[in-house]
Amino acid sequence: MLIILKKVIYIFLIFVINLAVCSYLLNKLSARAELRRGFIASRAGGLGYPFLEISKYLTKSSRLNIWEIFLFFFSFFIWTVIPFSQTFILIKVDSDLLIAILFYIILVFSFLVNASRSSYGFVWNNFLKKVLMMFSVFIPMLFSIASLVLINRTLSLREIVGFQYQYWNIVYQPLGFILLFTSAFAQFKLTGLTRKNTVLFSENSEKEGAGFGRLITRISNYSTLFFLLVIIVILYLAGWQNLYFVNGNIMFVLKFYILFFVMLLLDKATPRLDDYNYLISINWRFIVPVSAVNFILTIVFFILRNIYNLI
Amino acid sequence: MRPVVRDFFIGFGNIFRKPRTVVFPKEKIIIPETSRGIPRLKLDLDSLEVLCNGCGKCKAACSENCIEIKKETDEKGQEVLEEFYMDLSSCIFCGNCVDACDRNAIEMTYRHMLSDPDRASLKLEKLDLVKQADYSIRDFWGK
Repeated sequence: MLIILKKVIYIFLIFVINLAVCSYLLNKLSARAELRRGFIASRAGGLGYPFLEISKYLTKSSRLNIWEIFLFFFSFFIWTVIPFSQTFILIKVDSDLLIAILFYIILVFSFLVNASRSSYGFVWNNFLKKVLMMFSVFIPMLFSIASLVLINRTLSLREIVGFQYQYWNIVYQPLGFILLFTSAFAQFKLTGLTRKNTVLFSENSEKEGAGFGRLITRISNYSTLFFLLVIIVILYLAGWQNLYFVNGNIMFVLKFYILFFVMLLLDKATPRLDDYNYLISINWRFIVPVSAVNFILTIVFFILRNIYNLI
Repeated sequence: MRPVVRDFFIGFGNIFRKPRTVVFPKEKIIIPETSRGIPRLKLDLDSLEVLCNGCGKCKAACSENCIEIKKETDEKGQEVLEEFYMDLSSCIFCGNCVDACDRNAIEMTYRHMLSDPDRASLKLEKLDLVKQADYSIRDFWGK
């Protein structure tokens, strides 16, 4: 029991530290990329920014709705099945990849429902539109993960990392990596962390639950971002595997932050994705077909190798 | 795709460049040469009297009506300037008064920081306008 409690505290601490660091970097680096100075609240280069932002939300109203409570719990539940090292995992299950994706889908679904509420009731039109948009970035992600699972022949994230002791999965599935990264990047843009996005942004979020509820939504946004980055690092970039003499945990953190940094800069370089037709035209016409082709090629490869022993 | 890659590297390079914005009271940058601050009344360096004779051309040229001139007649019977008021709360620093003056008695300084809790202190008199000579030298922001 104590060991589990210890792990819970560790995971919570990792989450909170990452939250502080990433929200600081998100503000500071995006400002520096635009030749601005960024937030300077305190003497030490604005390190107090995340705490100031939390206090900003807490000073407003503290009303919550049921979907925000869902968001709060699932943004933490999602970390129970994600391994941070071979032993550092809260709940050991064989198919943790499947459960993680399930939790993630519930989290995003709560986002969508929460964003489709208005003062007068539930807006079905908006909801369906947002679901379609999210589907267009979800399908490539699921296709790439499925092709990877076919190659590694396991649903366990720990085993997938174990398989990459010699070559990283990015070597076998470079297209899958690009597609998953693009999908994750689109989801990062849709969450509206860097600029206000109408897709996952509630119509009444400025009126109702502007305080504590908004804070929870924000934390969940970060949670989805961390989840996507961690999944990419584990699936394609060998997670906590040592690289020559560099410790695996350090490598994990390094890869995570390099991906975060690249996403942040790409976010500056690309236009906002709140145009429905623009998003649909990119995803349905390009990313989804390419990911489907990648999946079919992997299946063909899988059949030829494992059933007919041709390769 | 090419603009995205280009912007990506521009953003990456910008992180290592010096930011364009400055923290105002702490950091200083030089004032641009053509910037216009508070107008000042020039003095005749021999007699140390104001060059302005109160002809009122600047008042006529002022689009915001922020100049107010009072004249008096001296012992020789000539009209001379008694008082020169300028309301900086309505001045737009256009420089029309400088262009309109035939005697070059008025010029723009580089003084730009005008915030004051008291609105009445923005109405400058003749002596105040003469004192602005300190700011006719180009200096740094944040003096």
